[in-house]
Amino acid sequence: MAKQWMKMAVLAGVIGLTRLCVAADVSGNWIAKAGNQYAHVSLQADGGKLSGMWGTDKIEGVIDAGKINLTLTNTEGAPSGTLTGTIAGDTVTLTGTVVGEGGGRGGRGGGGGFGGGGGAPVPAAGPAAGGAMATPPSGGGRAGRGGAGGGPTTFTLTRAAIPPAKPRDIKYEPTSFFAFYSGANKPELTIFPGDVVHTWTADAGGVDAKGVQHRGGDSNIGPIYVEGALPGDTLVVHLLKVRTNRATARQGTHLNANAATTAYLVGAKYDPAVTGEWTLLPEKGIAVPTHPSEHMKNYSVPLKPMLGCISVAPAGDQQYRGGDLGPFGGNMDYIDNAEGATLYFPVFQPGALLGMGDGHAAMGDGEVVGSGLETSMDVDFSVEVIHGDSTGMVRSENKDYLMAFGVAGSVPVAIQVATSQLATWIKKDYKLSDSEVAILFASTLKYDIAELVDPRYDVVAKIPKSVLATMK
Amino acid sequence: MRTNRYIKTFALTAAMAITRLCFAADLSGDWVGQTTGPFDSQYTAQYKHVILKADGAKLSGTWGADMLSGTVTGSKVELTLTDATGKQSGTLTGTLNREEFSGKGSVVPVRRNAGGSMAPVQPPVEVTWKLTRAVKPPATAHTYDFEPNVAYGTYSAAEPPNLHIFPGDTVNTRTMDQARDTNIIRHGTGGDANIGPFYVEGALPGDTLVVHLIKIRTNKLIGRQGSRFNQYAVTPAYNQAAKYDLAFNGNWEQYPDQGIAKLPPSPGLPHLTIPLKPMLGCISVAPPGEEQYGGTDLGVFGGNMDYNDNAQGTTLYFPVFHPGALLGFGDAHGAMGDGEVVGTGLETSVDVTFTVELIKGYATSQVRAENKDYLISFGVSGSVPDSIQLATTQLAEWVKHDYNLNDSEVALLFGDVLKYDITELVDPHFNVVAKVPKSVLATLNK
Repeated sequence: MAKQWMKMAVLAGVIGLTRLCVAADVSGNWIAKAGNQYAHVSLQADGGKLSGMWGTDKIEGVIDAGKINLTLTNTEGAPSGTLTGTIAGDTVTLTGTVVGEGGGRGGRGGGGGFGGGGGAPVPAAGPAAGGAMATPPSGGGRAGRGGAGGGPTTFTLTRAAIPPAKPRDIKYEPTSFFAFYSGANKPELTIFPGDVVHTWTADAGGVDAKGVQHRGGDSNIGPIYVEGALPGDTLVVHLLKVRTNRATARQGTHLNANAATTAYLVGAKYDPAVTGEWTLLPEKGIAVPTHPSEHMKNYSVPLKPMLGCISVAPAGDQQYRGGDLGPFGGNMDYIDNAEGATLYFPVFQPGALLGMGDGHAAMGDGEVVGSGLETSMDVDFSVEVIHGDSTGMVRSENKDYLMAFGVAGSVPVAIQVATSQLATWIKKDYKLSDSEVAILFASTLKYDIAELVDPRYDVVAKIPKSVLATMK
Repeated sequence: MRTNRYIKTFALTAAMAITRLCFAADLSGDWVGQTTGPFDSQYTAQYKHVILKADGAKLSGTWGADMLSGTVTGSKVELTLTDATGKQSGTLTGTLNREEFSGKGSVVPVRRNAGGSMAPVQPPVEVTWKLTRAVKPPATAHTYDFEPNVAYGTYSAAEPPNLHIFPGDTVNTRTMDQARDTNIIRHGTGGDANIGPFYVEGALPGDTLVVHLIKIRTNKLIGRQGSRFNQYAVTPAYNQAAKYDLAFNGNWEQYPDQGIAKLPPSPGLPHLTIPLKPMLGCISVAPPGEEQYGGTDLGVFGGNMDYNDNAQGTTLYFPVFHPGALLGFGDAHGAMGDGEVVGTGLETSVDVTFTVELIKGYATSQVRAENKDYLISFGVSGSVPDSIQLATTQLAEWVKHDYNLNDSEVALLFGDVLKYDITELVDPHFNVVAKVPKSVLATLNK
């Protein structure tokens, strides 16, 4: 009790000091915003001299009586912008030009193609060759401030939120279940990187562990606002726990049109006695049919609880229904989006707006009957934010693999997107040439067909970590 | 020793004499029935396993899946065939000439439908027919050390068999690398040359040839691999921007004793080491009818399936399209990732030991396989989406057949535990595998 009091006193003191020094000191972390364009900015004042970072660019400048002049230098040492402006209280206003970095990381164009090309410096938020968007990526078709032609831009800088001294354990009882992915969804919880959240999800139909009906349609809980996540960043989500929290699940019993030949589906005689109702036995790690047919009297499948949906808000004004999927994640239905997995999302909206739902107790590849063993889940997760490093689509890893998702309108394109994204990621992280990454993939790449039955297809490309460990 | 042999010879002569004297009683046994007629676009032969039981002048038995009844009068024979529903499916008349029947008649033809499976199609067609004795397997199985001296870059029933084997026989042999092998003469212009063909005695169209891959071991140091992504593996933008080093050294060194392969050091990959998993890129029977395909191609006959689990310990099931099946294989890879995304695995040669079996009168539309963990079904087609559907469908038909499941039960099973592998993206056809774990199948009541 006494300790807590002391902590609060210290915190109050810090806040007090911050307030006092503001007028005199521009030092600290800021968020720059111009239209849909954002940058992490840090400034250090040393007398009248300013230094710091604007995204990945270096800042040099001067401050004199509230007037600020900045010049920017990019990672290759070339001039990348000039800005002038003023500081007034907790707001800095700067006008000038900032050149973004090229699309070498392969951002995503608004139309849906994953661009791996580009690489040359381009004006901020302008489209790069091959459909890639410059960093920071902005909403499809609503790139940046408009006027990519090169007029000056006015940025407003506000203080970045100060994280708590220690990461928090947060118990979150969701009351909001959103059935469409959108930047307009109001956050229900705000967290900082490092916080651990203990929560639960309803099943795809909106039914929770107690049988209470919430909104269905592959609804996601939240969204959850992650402080410090800006468009162009990567949101890292560690799935610490994904466990079933009730005894029942339900599954479809007809093969989907994309999974079997037309002749097979026309000839199939489905048996209404096979209900697709499951009893979950987590203490045994298995699920058994609740009303088994004669051949399935002893049938059981191993439990492998997963989240069918996990998402950030899509770019710009885009809105997709809960069953859909895209570069924002969504209904990816990947069986290894399970306990122990870490997911990497490109951030399209401030705060990322994380959501999750559609738990499956187990599922085969491709979700070939249109569902897994649909049920509710207890979920623990923590988040981190990586500034920049946004790839075109979602990536993940677990103890065995690095994985890249390819979501597209056809399986062949999903394969190409998944492979390209994984190659771009590994080339960067392991400093490989194009030939090196090609031969690495040719010898060790694995594919998973994650999703065949939703509005878009989802293929995963993955590389075993055991092989990556031999490379250095 | 000498006495024994003398007695044996005597007994054989006596038996033959008896055969000659009362052949009507001797017609009982296994035969091969051949009917030739307008089954497809041209006159082709269809083959069936025939079992005859002779009782005086009366004949009974089976002709493929049909029931057979008939009479023998002197050397004249009349046969009637009846299908499983009791409908007449053929009438045949002819004469017996020593150990062979032949004549004319009409039968309901069995045709390959669009999906690849065989089904009877009305009306009956006029045929000529022939019955010959089935070859008798030797009392004990044989083991052959087969040194290949020819290889074929084409899949075709026209290639002459190089070795005749019986179900149960074991063959120790080796494959030819993509590079030329001075001891092996290569026929055909295509790549991916296969050794063989091996004629499997007793294999008839409509059967399933079972091939157990007992041993596959790399037998040379180098496995060569490409280092540029194929167009089907990455986006056009990726390949357009990629800067490939055309002199990149993709000659892996393979160490089967340690079970690893090492890439020659390059700046970013100074120590890349991967597990060796030797596999056969190509394994095939002769394709149907007069079809002929290049060695890089693949289809219902197998061929260049490039599946990284066509490895030691795997059993493959091929639909048989020609008498003897005409098994061949080649295109060994020391290891390969999914999809063969640079157009090659670690191209090398391997020592192979295999045995064969036959499942008579049952075949699915494409190749299947199993290993210790999975039942596996291939889907080869002109597009990945079609391959997914074909692989899933064939696996469903197989599991339904073997485990007596209905359509809902197999759908539920697949919804829970199905796995896919994208095996081949870069050849003239695409190949996707659907598989179900045996551990889960073991909980089903057949």
